[in-house]
Amino acid sequence: MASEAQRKKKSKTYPVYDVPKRPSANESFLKTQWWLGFKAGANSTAASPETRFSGFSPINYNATENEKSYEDYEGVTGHAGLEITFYHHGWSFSLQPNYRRQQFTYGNDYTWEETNNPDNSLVLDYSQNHLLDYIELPFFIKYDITQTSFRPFIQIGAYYATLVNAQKSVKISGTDFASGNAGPFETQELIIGANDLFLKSSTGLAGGIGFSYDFWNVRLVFDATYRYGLNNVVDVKNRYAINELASIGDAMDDIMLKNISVSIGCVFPLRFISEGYQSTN
Amino acid sequence: MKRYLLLLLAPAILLINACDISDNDALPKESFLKIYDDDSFEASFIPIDVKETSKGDFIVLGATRLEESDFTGIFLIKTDSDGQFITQLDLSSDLIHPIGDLIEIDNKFYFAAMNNISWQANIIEVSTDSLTINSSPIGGLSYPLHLKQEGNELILLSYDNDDKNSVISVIDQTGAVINSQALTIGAGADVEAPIIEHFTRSGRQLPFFVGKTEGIYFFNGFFNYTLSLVFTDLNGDGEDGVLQGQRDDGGISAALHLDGSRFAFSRFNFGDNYLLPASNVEVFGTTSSTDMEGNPFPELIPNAPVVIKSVEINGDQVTLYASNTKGGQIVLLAYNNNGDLLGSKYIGFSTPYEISGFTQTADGGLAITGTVYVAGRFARVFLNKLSKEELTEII
Repeated sequence: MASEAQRKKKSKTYPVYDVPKRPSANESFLKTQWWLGFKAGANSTAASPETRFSGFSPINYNATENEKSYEDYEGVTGHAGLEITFYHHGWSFSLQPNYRRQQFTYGNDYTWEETNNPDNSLVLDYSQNHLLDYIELPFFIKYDITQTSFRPFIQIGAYYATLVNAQKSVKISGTDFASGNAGPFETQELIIGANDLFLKSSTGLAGGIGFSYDFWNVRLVFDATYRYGLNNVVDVKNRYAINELASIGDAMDDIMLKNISVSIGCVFPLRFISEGYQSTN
Repeated sequence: MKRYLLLLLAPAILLINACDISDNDALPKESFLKIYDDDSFEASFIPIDVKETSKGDFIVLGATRLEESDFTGIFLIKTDSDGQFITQLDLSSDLIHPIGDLIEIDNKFYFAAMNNISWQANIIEVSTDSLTINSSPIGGLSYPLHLKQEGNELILLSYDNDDKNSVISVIDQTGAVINSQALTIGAGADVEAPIIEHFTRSGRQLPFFVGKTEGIYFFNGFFNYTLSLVFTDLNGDGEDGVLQGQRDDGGISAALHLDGSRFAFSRFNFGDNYLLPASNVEVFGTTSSTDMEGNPFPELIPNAPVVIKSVEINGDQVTLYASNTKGGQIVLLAYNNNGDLLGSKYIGFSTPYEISGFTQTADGGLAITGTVYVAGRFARVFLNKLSKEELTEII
């Protein structure tokens, strides 16, 4: 049986023998890494009106009668870009510059009716579609829930986007009840350059979930992200200044954009790339 | 590690500094195009003139079709400085056939109309706050055609249906006639017919107007069987000079006195239109408008209505023409004092636009009113405000 003095001697350590074990290449790869790759996907947008405006100024009826009806998440558009991610101990800091097209649509109806003979009336339906092309710089902080080849993750972040191009198209259809019968008609679709109608800048918050899967020497990344716009994307100075829009009875509401996007990407590790090394090691 | 994090955080810092977002709260005071809609199928509005009030609001004078009369009723719209509709006055009463100009004197606005039974001309005072009106008969004058302010004088052109005379008069705000000159249109119903059709809008709208040069008054109206520009000193001795047209098929369609005997004119001749931005005319002689050289404008609709006014752009007085194109747009053409074209601008898209009047605004911009055919068929009033910068871009 060891004496008290012997036990103390055994437990005593010396700094010179306490140097931690040098991490292997595998361990370093998994704990700290830069990733670079490509990413693309599809997205759908909803426009949320904050303050409403009317194209026509009614003098004998309420402007709310012509209020726009927004179609949320109707169309699907695309985006593509790069992903540059710094990974450290389960946390990733990711910059994902991309070129993205967003689309939103609204419609409104106008009715003109003869006072003494309501059969004489004209109903017009305006369907207005907007395509906005942005170069977006989103920044995400990701957390990998597991540290395996299959890694579910959550991410939050923010984005700044600058408008590259905007286009508006207007379809007008209607029914002319005064023409002798209920004659439906459609006019030619009008397409208008609308760069001046929107602000250059768009910002917002973003959050989402996804997973990555490591195989061979690459990492496949899939994510679904929700973007919540924080600013009115309409240039209020030009709301009534755009000749073409006022002419067709349109004035943009103050709107914020919300967007759902799904993306798939393929990223490559920038460190420890060698012939004998695989990301799945 | 810190270096990399800073690199990654840079875009986040960038988004915070997007300054156009923080500036995006300006109201559209400087520039707008507004259409004032009425949802009645049968409603039809004919704008005449626009003026800005001292508070920066806008008053649009117009006419409406009346079911119970061959003539038009009085219609006024008041908007705020952003063009937002405030109120309207739709007078389907005993006063009919409003005519411009809309004139501002001491923060009150005036125009002319006529009684729907006696056809007597009235001067109408409008209070800008509530658009209430007060009318005064203009002694002995009927069928008003054009009212214009020149300096401190109000000049009225009217038609005397009994004696078949064109009458040019100087009046005051109470309707008192200070001076007057009547000149015969010629004998026979054929001469009068286009005048009556002008009043009932069942025929062409003819370019009746009045004005004044240095000491000499002029009117564009019927004289001696012809639509002519007639000069007179109102001393009771008849006409001093005549620029003759071709019955109602040719003549002057608008005029702005520049200086001396120089005018900016537009003229029409059997549908063709010519602009003469700096033209000498013999005030004390008899000449013919068809002999006047001019810049042909086949772009304009046949016998196009033309508005000519002098506006200040970049510190210079510019002669600004406005007229209607065959494409359904309004064209603004700017000329310098020598008659050189400085530039042009087009207004309107998708639906037809027609000019009625324009006025320079206190901020150096321009307010334009006219008719827009909403859905291609409903005549409605539009008000287009150009900012000072947009007006400058014309030249």
